[in-house]
Amino acid sequence: MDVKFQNVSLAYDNVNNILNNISFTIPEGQLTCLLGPSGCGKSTTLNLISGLLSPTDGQIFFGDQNVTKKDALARKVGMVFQNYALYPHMTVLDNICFPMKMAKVKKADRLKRGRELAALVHVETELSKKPSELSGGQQQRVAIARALAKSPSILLLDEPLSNLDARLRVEMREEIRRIQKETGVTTVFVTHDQEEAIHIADQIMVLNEGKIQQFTTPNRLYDQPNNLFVAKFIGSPIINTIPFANVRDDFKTVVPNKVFSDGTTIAIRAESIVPATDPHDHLTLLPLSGTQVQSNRFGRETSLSLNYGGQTIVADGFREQDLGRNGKPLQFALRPQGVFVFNQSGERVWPETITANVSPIKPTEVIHA
Amino acid sequence: MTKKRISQALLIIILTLGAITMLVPFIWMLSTALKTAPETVKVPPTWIPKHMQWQNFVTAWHAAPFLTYFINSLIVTTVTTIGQLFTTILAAFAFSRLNFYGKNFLFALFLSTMMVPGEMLIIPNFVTLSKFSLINTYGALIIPWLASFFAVFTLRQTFNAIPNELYYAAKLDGSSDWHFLWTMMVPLSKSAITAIGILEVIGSWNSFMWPLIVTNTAKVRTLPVGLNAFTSDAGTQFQLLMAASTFVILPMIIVYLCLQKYIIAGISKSGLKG
Ligand SMILES: Nc1ncnc2c1ncn2[C@@H]1O[C@H](COP(=O)(O)OP(=O)(O)OP(=O)(O)O)[C@@H](O)[C@H]1O
Ligand SMILES: [Mg+2]
Repeated sequence: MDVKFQNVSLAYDNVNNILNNISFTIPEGQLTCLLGPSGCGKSTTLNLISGLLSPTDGQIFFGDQNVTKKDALARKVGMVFQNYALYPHMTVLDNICFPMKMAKVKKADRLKRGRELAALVHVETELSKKPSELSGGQQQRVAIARALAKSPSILLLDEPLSNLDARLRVEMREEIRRIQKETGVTTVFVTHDQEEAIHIADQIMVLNEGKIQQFTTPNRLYDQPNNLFVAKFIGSPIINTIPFANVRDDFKTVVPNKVFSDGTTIAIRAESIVPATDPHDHLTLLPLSGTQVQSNRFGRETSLSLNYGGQTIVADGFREQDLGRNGKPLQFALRPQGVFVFNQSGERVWPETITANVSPIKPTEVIHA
Repeated sequence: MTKKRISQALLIIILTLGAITMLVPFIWMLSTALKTAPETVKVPPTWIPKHMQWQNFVTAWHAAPFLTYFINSLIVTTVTTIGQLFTTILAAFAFSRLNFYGKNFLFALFLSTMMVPGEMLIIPNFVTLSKFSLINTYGALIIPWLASFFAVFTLRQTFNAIPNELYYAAKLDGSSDWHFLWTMMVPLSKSAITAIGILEVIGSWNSFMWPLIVTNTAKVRTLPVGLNAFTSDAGTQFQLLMAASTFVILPMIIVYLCLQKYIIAGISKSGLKG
């Protein structure tokens, strides 16, 4: 079932809006990420979907049905909490079966289904253990199985991976992706980790200060950030930003007059800075020049700090042999993609539209763009 | 290695001394219960009576209607403890999880009652009960103790330590507040509830002042009040008093021995959590 928010606002104290008049549609059967910095309202949005909170203003729909006034139980959502919230005094199997027990499913039926779900999330050998006897990853999988037990219309996950170590986190996000694909359940996944979001999501909603910054596919978010916040939030290393006034003469032939006068910040992705000899199409006709500050090699990656336009910017598109000497001038070029100009209020003013051949679009993206 | 041995030995010595200190009053009670009247006041005191006076127990048992007292104590303690646990669990849940108008004010109000010394409540409680014509009934012995804010406060702290997400998760899974309380909160707070229950059992069983004030016939009196039978203006018959004391505390000792496992588990578990 798809989830639709219509002009939803929420204020915990009825004064300050934590969420400000937001509208969006989460498509059915896909995995959608809510991404944003801490305190931006991700959990709040999730709790509005689950029905644990009701909006101060606006309407919420599941499919065609208006669920604004319905409580959490009636909405039939499954939820995985950040700390998993497994029932500590119950065994794994009892935990998974609990929602079915509440729904008065017959004992034999619910045990059968409980075992199936345990197999789906690969905890079938731990059924008689208590949650405290499981590893973090196992607890998390039990929590997912429990959330799936009531055959939820929507599965909600609130930062489910934040308690796991880096390696397990990668493993579990693939696992969640697999389970979502296998069950086809509409899933909303909250995270503040942009890399996690990019790897797992069909589409990402970036939130900041209670507003939707952009809601699109991961690749589009990377290739076509609507504003400076999204450009800076997505991608690692963080995108380079330079006051446009310092360098705009270099781009005089590239950008329209209006952008030339309105642009306040130019943002350049690290991989878009390449040696002047690079065989790619170059954004500017002439190579740009800066001063090499420092260079490092980390295994197969290099990291180059350049002084350009009075700012130190980072480039990672150089091979070792292209590097110059520290403190000496270095010529470089820019690739046409990954360079954006933003205006005073942070909106992208250039490039205005980005053509499809620059960012190949997956079939699913066309439908929900 | 030897250092470890020494500290081990030291530990055992300290624990032994502690155990002996705890046991001395009990041994003295037993020994006195088996003495003759003159021997109880003999100087220097004897630890082992010259002639064991076993008939002291029989005399003491028949000196007052102890069977009635025993049954009364049993009824009062059971009803008070169960009743108090019930109100405590409900109130602690309300203060810990529910949102209702005036919650904080009510909590502060109840908290302030803890500052009123118990002695000050004796007269108002007595007056109230007599207005309801409850003096000299089980009601007088039970009703004032059906709620204890100290217990509510303790349990509320334990309930508060249970993560909110558990409550939300159970709610999403279809559990009502009532169901959540009895299938989640209570089992998860077993140790705190056991501790509160034990305190109340002991307090209720040993309570002396209140039953003495609100009862005036043997029909509803409890064991500790019955012990008064051995004290008169002419002095106290220590050997009978001690014999009677022995069978008054015997049930508590049996309860302790049976529940020992739970009591110790409860204490050590809450210690870890705290
Ligand atoms: N129960 C509450 N009462 C009042 N304010 C709240 C409550 N819960 C959250 N807030 C506020 O609402 C804002 C958004 O909180 P929310 O929990 O949705 O953030 P989040 O995006 O989930 O952050 P995080 O990544 O840290 O979990 C925060 O400023 C927070 O202080
Ligand atoms: Mg959150």
